Amino acid sequence: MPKRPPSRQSSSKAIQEADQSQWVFLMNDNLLEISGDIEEKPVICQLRHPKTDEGCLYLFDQHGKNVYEIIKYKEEFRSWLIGESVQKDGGIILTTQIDPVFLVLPYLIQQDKCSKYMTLDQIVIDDKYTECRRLPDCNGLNELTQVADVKGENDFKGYRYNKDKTLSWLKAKVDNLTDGIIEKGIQVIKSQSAMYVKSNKEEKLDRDAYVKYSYGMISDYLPLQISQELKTYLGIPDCEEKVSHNPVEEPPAKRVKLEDIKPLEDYSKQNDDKKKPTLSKKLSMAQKKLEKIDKKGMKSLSSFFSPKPK
Amino acid sequence: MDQSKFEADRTKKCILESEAPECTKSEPCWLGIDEAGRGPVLGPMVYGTCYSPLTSGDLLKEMGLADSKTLSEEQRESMFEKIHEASDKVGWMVEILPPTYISNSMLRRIKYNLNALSHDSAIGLIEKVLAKGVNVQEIYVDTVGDPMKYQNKLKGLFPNISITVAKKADATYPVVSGASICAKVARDYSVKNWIFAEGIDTEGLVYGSGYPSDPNTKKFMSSSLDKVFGFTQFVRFSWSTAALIIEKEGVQVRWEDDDDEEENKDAKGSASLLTFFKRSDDDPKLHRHQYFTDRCLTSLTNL
Amino acid sequence: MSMQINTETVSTAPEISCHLLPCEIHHNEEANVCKYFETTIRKEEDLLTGCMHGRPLDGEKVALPSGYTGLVVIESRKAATEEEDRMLDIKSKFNEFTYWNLDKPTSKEDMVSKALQWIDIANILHSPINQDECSQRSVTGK
Repeated sequence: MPKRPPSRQSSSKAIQEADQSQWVFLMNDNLLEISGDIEEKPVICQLRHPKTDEGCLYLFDQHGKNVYEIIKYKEEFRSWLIGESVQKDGGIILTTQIDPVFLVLPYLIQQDKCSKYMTLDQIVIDDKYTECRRLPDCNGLNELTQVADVKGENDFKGYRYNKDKTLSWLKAKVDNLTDGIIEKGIQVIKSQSAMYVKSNKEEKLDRDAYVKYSYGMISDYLPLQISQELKTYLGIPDCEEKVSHNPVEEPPAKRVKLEDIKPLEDYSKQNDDKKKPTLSKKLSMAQKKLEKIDKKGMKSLSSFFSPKPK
Repeated sequence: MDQSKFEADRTKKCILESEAPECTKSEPCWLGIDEAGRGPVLGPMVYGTCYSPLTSGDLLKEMGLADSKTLSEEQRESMFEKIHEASDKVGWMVEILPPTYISNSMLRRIKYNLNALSHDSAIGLIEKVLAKGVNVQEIYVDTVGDPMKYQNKLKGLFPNISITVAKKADATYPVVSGASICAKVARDYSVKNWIFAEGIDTEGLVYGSGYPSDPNTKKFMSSSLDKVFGFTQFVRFSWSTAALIIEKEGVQVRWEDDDDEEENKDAKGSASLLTFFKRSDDDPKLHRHQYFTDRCLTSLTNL
Repeated sequence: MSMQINTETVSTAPEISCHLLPCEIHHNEEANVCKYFETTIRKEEDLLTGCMHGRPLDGEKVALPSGYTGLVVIESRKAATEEEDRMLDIKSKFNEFTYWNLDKPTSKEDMVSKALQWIDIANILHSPINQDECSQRSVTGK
């Protein structure tokens, strides 16, 4: 599990975060079916993330047959009102089924170095993320035949990584996803400039742009090396890939400090100070006009000046 | 004053009005405009207008119309009765701008300041009276801001009507006094008959004048504070008095359009937590794809 | 370390109303939501408006994607040691929630809506590949 760098945040905040003991989940209904055996419950645990190599949370269903990815939506300025209470954390934890082949693939590739057929129990072993022992039971792993050569039967199935099969399988994944994001109308062009996108609305985007996007998304589930190989396999040009520090939140829009907003006149004080507030108001109105301008297109410009994220 | 229309929803602005007397449609009229409750942190602000034929100037004077602020509440009410009784000669209209409407306007992303809000209310009243077919020839407006600028603005909008914007117009022109009385009576009534949607018992409740400097008003505000939600909709959140009490005694609430250095620092701190993967620019394997970063989606390392 | 989710209480968990506000409230406790927030909500045609700290909010009621249930999950007792398994319980559930923007009409481009769409995309990304299709593609593939 990655340790956060020693934070500059106030300690009180850190404590508050640590104290959180309530979360909002969107739970796949399959996870809520009660099985006969009440001892069987869905379990959240850390597994090695195939891309980042770090521990991330995943969820095994009550039968241990399906594994779900846990992804959290969280915007900065959000909190929940839940019934008659507040939950400071305005996040939503989404649980979606993940193809377990993605989680096994790094172990398979690792084993490839000895190029022997091995059983899953021998392949999926991890001293750091021991819960990976749950993976071999997952239903989705019959798909392993699409990334590995298989020998033997039943409990004695041996697997050996097959790169060509894997790339072909991944290509099918990319194709599927490409169809999906086209159908769902996902915007794949960086909204660097809203205007650019608008002017291109009519023109149909090249399928290549979607393929590249899908490839990028799927690469989020792959070790770096296989992701590179897939890129070549798909014929995606190995362009500079502008390091897109996808600009960390836009600087918050400025607002007149509340303290500045005063009643222009307070009869109880009689009419002393009437001129100054009007003046400052006018200035702020001008500022407001500026705010009206759609700043979307300027984002990159403003982030250019803001300090580099550390 | 029957305010049931306003009382149906105390968060929305509301127009209350008399019928336009027939004579005001044929004879040339003057129209006065004044406001009540601009300064208080509590209750609605009310814009009022009163109009009658130019020839009825003496009638208004005889009614004893005067600056509403020099009259007691009872006197104002009896004046309003008189205006009501003279409904064959005098018409009136008020617009009630409740605290929620005022706060919402002033705290919008694109701020709508109190002056603009007041001008728009006054202009709206004039337009509505004209739309009733009243033959308005002269307009008299009491102002709190710069009279000349306001006067020019109105002249631009109503080029065929003689317009006089003046300080203390409510003491000078009886038709403005009438407007001032209508506005003040409407404000007093709405404050007195305020029912709290939040279920606060008004029995024996003392608000004071509603001006931020009034100790009773301050006391009411502090004692009715809700730590999370601040105040009831009887309070203008956009007044610094209200904001300061919330800041001091309420739970901290951060908004995207907050402009506070301390808080921004804080914001960056939490952003670095959220965007942990995004920020590790040096290590490509920690980059998340744009699809996820564009949606504020991250993997969790722990709960 | 793992966390069990005690799902057997899901059928008896109370349904609860949820609002996702456009501000961060530094509070994790009781609040007078009904009296102070829900009383500000107005509905005109399909548009919801509300008010928080005097600011105007625009809201939209979101039905959860089908096949999903909203759960408020709590950890009533913190595990004493790192090794001990943690236990999560279901406190309440919901099938819809209302999200609020600060003075901005809701749209499909709102982060929440876009984020929830992940469920559909994840389904596509993680559904198994038909093997025949796969081998066929690899033959015709570049």
